[in-house]
Amino acid sequence: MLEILIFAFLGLIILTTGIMIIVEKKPVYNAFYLIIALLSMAGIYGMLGAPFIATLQILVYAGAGVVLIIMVIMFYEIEKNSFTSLKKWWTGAVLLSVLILDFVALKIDVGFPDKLGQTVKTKELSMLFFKDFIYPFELISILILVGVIGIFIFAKRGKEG
Amino acid sequence: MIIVYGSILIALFSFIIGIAIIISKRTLIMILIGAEFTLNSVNLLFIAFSKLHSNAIGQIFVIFTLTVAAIEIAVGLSIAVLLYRKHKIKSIEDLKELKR
Repeated sequence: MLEILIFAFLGLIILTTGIMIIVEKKPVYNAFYLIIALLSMAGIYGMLGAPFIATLQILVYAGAGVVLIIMVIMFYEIEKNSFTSLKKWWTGAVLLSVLILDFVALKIDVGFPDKLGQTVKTKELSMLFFKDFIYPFELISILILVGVIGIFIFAKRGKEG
Repeated sequence: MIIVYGSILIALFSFIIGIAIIISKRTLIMILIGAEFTLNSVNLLFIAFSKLHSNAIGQIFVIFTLTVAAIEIAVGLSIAVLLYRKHKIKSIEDLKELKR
């Protein structure tokens, strides 16, 4: 029963923050709501038996990606009042409760009968990753290289023009 | 059991919300935020079906999607910064190169 309550709370948070992103005009608030939605999705990943993906979600998306978005928003020199007055108490309360529920959700197993056990261990995942999916892994690293070269070309072109 | 099917429903609704963000916003960064939301809902669907069929391959595809999303956000933001620095374009309605 507890896990259904936690799941319903996280799902409601995801849908509410999505609608708030549509309604809200200021871009920094939108990035903040995106952080909350990503963290609650990480909680649902943890409940569905994927703790490694949940950790990766918090590290890559909510850590690196949204910080990059906020940095570019600050480059854009948007009007002054977009950075002030995010002092409503409920935003901090929602962020804190989602963070606590993430840690709780990593301990919950859904109770679904499967042959993998309750959660997929990182060892099994990495064995599958480096045995059966080694060629897509190398291809994705080439894609990262192409992305880095493309970003360098964009930065150089912006500097010359 | 409820959680797996409920997460499929949440993935569906958050996909719709992500498409609505992409359609309704006018700034390039907001469109990227909508794309992130959409990709995340697809990741949730992958993990829910990986749990439903007790098969770990869905989680591997989530890792691939995550890498592609990281590259997409980096390249898209660099395009947005380049458009702003060269042409002072913030909104997508100012992109008139293809309308001539």
